Amino acid sequence: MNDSYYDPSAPSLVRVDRVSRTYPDGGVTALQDVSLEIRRGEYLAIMGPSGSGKSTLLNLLGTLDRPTTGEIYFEEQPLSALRDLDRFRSQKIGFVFQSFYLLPTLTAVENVQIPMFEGPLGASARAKRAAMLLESVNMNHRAKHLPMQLSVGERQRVAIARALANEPQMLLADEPTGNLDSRSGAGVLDLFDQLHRERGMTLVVITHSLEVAERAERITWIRDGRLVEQPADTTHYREHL
Amino acid sequence: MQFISFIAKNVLRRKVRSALTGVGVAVAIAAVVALLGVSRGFEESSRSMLKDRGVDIVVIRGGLGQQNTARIDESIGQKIAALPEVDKVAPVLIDRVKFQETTVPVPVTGYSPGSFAIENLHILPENGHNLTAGDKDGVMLGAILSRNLGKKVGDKVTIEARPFSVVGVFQGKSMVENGGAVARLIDLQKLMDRVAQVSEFQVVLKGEFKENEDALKRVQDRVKTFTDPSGKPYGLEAQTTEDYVNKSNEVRLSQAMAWMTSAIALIIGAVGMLNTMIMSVLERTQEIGILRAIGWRKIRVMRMILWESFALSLAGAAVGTLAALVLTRALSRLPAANGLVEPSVSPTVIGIGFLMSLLVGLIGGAYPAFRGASLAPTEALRYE
Amino acid sequence: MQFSAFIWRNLLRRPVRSGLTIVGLSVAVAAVVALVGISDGFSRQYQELYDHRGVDLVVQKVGSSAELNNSLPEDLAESIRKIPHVKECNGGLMDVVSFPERDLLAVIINGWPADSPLFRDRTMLSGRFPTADDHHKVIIGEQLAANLGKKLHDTIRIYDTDVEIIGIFRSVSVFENGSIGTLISDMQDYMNRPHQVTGFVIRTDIPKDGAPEHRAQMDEVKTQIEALGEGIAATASTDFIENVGLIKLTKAVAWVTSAIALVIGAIGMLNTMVMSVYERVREIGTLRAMGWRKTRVMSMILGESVLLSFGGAVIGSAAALLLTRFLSRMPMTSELIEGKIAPVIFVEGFLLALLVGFAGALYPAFWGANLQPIEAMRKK
Repeated sequence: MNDSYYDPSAPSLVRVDRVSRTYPDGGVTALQDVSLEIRRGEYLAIMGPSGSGKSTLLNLLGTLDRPTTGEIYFEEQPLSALRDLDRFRSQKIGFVFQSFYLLPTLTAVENVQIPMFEGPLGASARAKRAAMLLESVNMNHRAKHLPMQLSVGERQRVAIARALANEPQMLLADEPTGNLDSRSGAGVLDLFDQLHRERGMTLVVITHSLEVAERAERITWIRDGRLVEQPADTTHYREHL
Repeated sequence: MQFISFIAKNVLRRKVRSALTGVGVAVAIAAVVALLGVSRGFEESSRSMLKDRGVDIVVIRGGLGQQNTARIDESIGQKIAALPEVDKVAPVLIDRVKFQETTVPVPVTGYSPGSFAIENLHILPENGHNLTAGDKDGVMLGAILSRNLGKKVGDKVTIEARPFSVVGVFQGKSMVENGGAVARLIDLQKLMDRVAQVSEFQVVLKGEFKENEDALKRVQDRVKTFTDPSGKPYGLEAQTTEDYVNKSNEVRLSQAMAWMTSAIALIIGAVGMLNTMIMSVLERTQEIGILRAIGWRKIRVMRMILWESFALSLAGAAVGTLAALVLTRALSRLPAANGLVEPSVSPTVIGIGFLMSLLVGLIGGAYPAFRGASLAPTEALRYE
Repeated sequence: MQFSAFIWRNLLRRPVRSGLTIVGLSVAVAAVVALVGISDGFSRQYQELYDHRGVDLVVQKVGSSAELNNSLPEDLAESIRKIPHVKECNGGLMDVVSFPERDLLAVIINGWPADSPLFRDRTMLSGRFPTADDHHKVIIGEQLAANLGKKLHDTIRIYDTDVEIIGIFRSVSVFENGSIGTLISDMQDYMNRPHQVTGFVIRTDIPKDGAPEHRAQMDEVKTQIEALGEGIAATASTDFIENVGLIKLTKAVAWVTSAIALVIGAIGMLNTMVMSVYERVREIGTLRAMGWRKTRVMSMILGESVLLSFGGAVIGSAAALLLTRFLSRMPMTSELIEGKIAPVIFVEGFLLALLVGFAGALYPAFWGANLQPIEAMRKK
């Protein structure tokens, strides 16, 4: 476990209150009655087998989806009351995905600028900030390269820089190391640590790998759409024996 | 699985894309078929107006830009009738009159009662009688015109500020004729200030001389030599019905317009098709790579892409043709059309439409087929 | 990176598709601009001609639509000249002849009295104007002379008569440069219309400033002319021109063909934009996940179509201009087409292109913007 910077008296950033998500067409219940609290500055890992609903939970936390029942509060504001979810998302939340999802025809520095269009910065200010962000993830030397020309580890780093573009309050990562080899994966996790330590960034990482989860301060387990206790035997969640 | 069904599957797999391409082709082909169909129909209609009467030759004033202003002495008719090859001659005066109900000018023709030209009109049962010598200021309306003006037998129609009474309603094979009116030659001459003048003579040759090239030539040469009493040539020309129709300004104009617009429609359609097919091939680079890797030869890949292109364009042609038929029928009912638009499209034109669609399919498919087939399998497989 | 640069980049990324879309659109725009430009050119030329002459009114027999068919008695001019404010009243007989061996199908021939001022509007390049004795002699425009390959003192054949060319002239209007002028008495002979004219052109001394009392004076002149006989109509030159059969016809043809071209062009654009959006579903999902609002996504797609339309409009307009230039040099059409297109027509062309582009992109833009980010990103 990390050195804990988690302060229990810190205000709650996100509060998930008895949230369910069902899909009417398949009759599938992805999440059932989930309640969860995330404090400001917390580094949380959400673990579970595939199909457990963890990606759904991430999407809900990231306002990419709305719950069927229940409420999610961000800084004590209910999300359902928000009229402009898009604006909210662009200002408060950064995403990192397993498949990176960089735009293939834009260079690294251009990719990083994409979220900034909704912000107040002008074109040259955007470019400057993007360069700075790439610097902070050690990717400045590859700023003008296309994703196709980068290794998978480099791509994920650019994605992280992009996620930080609008100075979000929370970073959500869905299997961030899923497509990476162990070295690049470790590099990414180091980056997360750095962000957490130096900026006090609130991090939520979804993963099915215990190695990744143990880098966080707290692990929450999910199974079949419900939050559960840590299982007794966690060996098969380890990737390296 | 047959090659054909494989093609069909491919096309159906990308429903949205295929549908859109098909629509693009359909619209282009619909435009082509409708335009060519209407123009051809008009031509046929004009032709049948004369052919149904048995007219072989039309004598007109030569060298004029438009026949509307021609003035020929009515007496020349006798000279023509005197020719050995000639059976019957009808003096004819044609003018175009605007009515409020029809946006296009309506042809008003003056025939002499009793001439073969007028006898040929089929009066509808219960709809009056054919013009006789005694029907002063009488007029017969074509069925379409009668409907558009809302006038029946006994009603009055104003032509050039003079009232005419409707004595009969006729309906023939020619829609153009059915949109027109017929009055006595004498009445029309007075109305138009063309006393003792005509715009043309319609001539029927004797049975044994019909279709006879030499006879035709003889008549044409003789007519050219006709001079007035002072020896000045009248400047007349004897045209076969075919030439007369083909050279008429209206027919020419409608043909020109139809071809020009069709060309534009086809170009845009072909460009669109090319666009789609190229994108489609690009998207399926990996798939094509797999096919080549498992042993498909270039030719087979090319054929596949080409056939898909043809399938799409033919489907588009089918839908487009149907749409054109519906459209033409609807147009023919508009009062504004007044007989200028036939409700049906000749099979030849439909055939042309399908041929055009094949052309579009070829243009749209050839280059992408070539490009697609030329990809090296390893390259294609690597493509993300 | 600018937003506009991003849009630009999206288009350049698919050069073949963008190129082909622009080509398709430019064909439509070229068709519209050329056809409307030419038909507009016709009415402008006519107008120029009448303006040059200071024609206020055109007097004709009303009724039949084939206006060349009508006739008025030539001595009506006497009565018209007596009407107050009428400064000039000139009658003429007009017809259309053809020279099929030279592919010239619509050559205007005008007949005027020898002393008519209508002759003098032209500049004589060589030879002279006809005098009252010059029977079976003609003057022809320089364009016609070129197309027929004739020089001064050559003969041409009209109405089955050989006539001598005694003058070659140049006029302000392209129409006239392809026309023939001769004595009205000869025309009345050829056309079998003794003592008749096709119509009169009237010049008044009333100033054309639109002042109400001047308009009332003009109306009074009109009424008095029309009272001279049954079926006489006096029309202002602008109204007259707009109603000329040829002008109406070419306008109708131009607009019908343009409409068809534009519809097909719009469908092509729709096709392209739908496919373009369809293929970028994953990307659009990512943009939305990265915080892009729906309106921004829509602006992006609409922006792409606007750029494409603009490209199509530029190329199409250039093509149309080249086409009309070319036509103005081909003998068959050189007498009708000026080779110039009024600037306002180009503006219309651009606006139509933008409209077409917009219309074709509206649905795909809307559809793309409303994709759900997660589902969109998951697509293949």
